Amino acid sequence: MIKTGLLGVLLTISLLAEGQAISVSGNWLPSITAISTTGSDYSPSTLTSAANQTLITASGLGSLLVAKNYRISVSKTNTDWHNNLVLTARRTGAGTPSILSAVSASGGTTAQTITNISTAFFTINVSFLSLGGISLSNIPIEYSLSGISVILPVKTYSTTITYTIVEL
Amino acid sequence: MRKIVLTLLLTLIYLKGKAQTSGNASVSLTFSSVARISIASSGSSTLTLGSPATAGLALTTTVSDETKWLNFTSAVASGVSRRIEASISAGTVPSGLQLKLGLNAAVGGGGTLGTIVASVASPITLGTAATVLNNITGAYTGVGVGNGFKLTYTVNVSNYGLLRSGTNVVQITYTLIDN
Repeated sequence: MIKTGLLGVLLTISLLAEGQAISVSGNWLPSITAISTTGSDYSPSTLTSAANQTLITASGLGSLLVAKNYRISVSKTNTDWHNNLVLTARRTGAGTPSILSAVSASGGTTAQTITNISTAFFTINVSFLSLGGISLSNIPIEYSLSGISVILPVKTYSTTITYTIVEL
Repeated sequence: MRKIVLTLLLTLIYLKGKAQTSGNASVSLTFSSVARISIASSGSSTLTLGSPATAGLALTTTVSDETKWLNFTSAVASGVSRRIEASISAGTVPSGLQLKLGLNAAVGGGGTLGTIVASVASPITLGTAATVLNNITGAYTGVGVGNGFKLTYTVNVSNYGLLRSGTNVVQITYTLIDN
């Protein structure tokens, strides 16, 4: 009877812990350096954002006494884009765990081209010692945009980057 | 009954574990119109119709200069193109002479640098504004001497009887214009 009750309590704790969720903040509005020398193209032709341009928070992670891994994937949906523009992202920091040593991020530290197809970016690993419901906050993301040239038609180019979390 | 409840709980846990969520960030970049034009190198070109080596012979009837290069940077919206016009904006070409201009094939740069209208083989006589290069869209020539379009200026004697000795200064203006 006691064992059954304990099991029930533990299962309830697990259920009370919300499922994994992701929140993303921080858009990037780069500005091009004006051309100062006639005959030249834009310089630099590649722009880099702040190292923490976008912050990702993953929450509701983990489960009682079970190690969990989550994949963060990235893709973009173009509003108006040009094939010459290549957008990359990289993870520049570890983020802040709600419980130290219980959760960490791995991978994604080298620049990865963001395409229109969702692609694995980095992984979040949760220790089996967690009770669930933990989070990894403010994982910093840096962007880079190359292919900037006067050759491209004059207009505003925009795209929406989507980060998705999936339990593995 | 206990087994059924446990099974339901585990099923719920499993279903929750497979939940998937997403979040968004946007990137937006604006390209503005660019229209810049210059001549490299700075300074004047001098074309001299010198005396013949032997009395009784004609003047050298054609002299040319190829020290200047046309540089430009252009960024335009889709469907827009530009042209470059050349004109004599100050001074006059002496009577009996013609000042002609031809563009050599582009060197360096990138993009759509346009179509030469006034070529070395078929130069225009400079005077009022005339198109020398057309259908430029997004393009850059490169910077300075050795990049872009080398300009060939030629002075021809058109009427020997009207020639008078002297020095004339002529200013040529190049303009990058939307079509």
